[in-house]
Amino acid sequence: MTDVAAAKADAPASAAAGRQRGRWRAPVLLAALTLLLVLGMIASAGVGQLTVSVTEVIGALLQGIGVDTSWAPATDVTYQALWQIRFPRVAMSLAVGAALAIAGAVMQAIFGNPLAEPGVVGVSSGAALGAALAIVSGGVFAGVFGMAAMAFVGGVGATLLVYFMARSQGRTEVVTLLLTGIAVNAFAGAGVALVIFIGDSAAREQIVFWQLGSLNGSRWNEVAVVASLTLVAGSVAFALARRYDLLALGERTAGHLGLRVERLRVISIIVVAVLTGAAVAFAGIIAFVGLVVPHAVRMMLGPAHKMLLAGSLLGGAVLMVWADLFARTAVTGAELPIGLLTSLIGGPFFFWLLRRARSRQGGWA
Amino acid sequence: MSVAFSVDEVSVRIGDATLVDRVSLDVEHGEIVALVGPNGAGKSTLLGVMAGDRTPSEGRVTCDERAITQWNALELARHRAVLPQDNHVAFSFRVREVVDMGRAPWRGTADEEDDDAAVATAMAEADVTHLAERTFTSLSGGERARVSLARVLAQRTQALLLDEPTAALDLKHQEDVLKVARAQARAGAAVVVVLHDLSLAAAYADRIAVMERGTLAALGAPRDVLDAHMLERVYGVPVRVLDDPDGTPIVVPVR
Repeated sequence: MTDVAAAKADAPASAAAGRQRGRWRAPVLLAALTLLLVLGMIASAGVGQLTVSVTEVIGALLQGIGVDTSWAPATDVTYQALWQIRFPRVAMSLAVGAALAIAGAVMQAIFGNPLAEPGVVGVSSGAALGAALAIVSGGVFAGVFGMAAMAFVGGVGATLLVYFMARSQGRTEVVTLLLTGIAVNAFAGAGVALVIFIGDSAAREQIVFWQLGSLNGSRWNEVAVVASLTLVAGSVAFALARRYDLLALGERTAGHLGLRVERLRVISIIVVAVLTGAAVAFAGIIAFVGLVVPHAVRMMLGPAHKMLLAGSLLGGAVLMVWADLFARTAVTGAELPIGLLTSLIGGPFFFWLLRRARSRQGGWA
Repeated sequence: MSVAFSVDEVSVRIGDATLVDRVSLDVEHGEIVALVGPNGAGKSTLLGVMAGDRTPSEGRVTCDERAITQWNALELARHRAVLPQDNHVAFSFRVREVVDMGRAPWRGTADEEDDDAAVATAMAEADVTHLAERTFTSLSGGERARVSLARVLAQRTQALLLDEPTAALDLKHQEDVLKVARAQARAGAAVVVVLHDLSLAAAYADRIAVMERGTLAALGAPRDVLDAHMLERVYGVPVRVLDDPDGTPIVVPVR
């Protein structure tokens, strides 16, 4: 009897403790991610063929924005290398990582399924097809904005296709989602292959290497496009965070709570396509970032979307900046394609997630 | 008391199938109406029509004397809460978070101040306070149903549409849920509840609507409606209607 009474008295206390735990978790994780991000940025700017010290990196950064310090790099060569090659590349990795992670989180919210990811379900390949067409067609589409626009169009097309093919009665079954992804990937892949086949050799080479995924040769005007698109689409996602929470109850119940599900869906599809299109247009196909990052954040901070999106934004940027540093420096004299790297890590992770989803649902036929 | 829901000659057809056939039903504020009937009789469909989920093929539905099609989603959400038959939650939200979602329609209004109180009261009424920090996905079927009921109560609306709220519940919680529903009705809410247990319906409902293949077979006070012959025809099984010592009818199949 006393045990029961004690346990009962204990329950609210431990619940309060649980809330306490939850309360410090989020700031600590976000602070840790920010720290990792800053370290990664400095390391990535400093390490490479030309090694630059930490103080010089900071000095050059300050000099660039008009503050002269004693830390400024000794030679103009270093300064130029940082501002024309390293800095835009670091900035691009941040923008691309954040865009892909947020796109993944939004996609999982509207599908109500943790396995939805732009790469897995074929949105990335749809965007890639658009971008490849832009490269090969030349003219107005070959420019920076043309590629981004075509990648966006491809991304929207693929997202719409997956969305309407994979959903039935307001739910998405894992099997249907993945099978639809296979079909979309196969079709877009064939499209890209066709484009390569009919393109001239210069365009071919450009498409093949770009498809592997790389942040090499990022320029400031490209960074500006990706960053501004990520900023706009990301802000929309943040504004919708509370609504994504409601969507977890299912479309019907979310509707009973006053949510206009249809409108939310359409806006979200555009958000996903803009984010994925922006990232894919300049960095090629970098898969699984949108899968791994939101999942890890969800495990640590819970599924509420405000924190999930904030954590994904930072986590995506952190993952990308460190992965890019590794891709640049792991093999001397050569550079690994970053898309290859993320798939290498993300593939096995996807297996694990798939098996877990399967055991939860008691298997599927 | 004023009419909360007015269903007027409503039919719902999908292809060749007629799910609801010219049903008329008024539900007033302050009363509990129990919808009973065999599986596939159209109870959930009728409830869906009243909730505004389904547009009837014929007839019209009014909510507080205004056609339901004239309401927007948010106005409806502040007016009526709906408990569906099965409740899924994607991702591992905690029970408190799920109940708190019931407050969504009131965000940005003066009632937002009541959020914490509404959630706490609703969780106490549905007896899920001790589950607050558990994740919804880790709960049993009955616990999920009670958490979903708490979410519906937290919405604090003047009308409740409950689809089999007692289906997965144990004896005590069945009684608790219907006591809560009755308290809501006494406080002025209109409550429509789909039930399978006729004795339970007789004990708590002010009126019972018996549905039979999409039509309304009977409508009225439990004592008048629960007739052994009619029930035998509707359910296809012989039943006996007994009298509980306290006067409410009890329905048992003849075994």
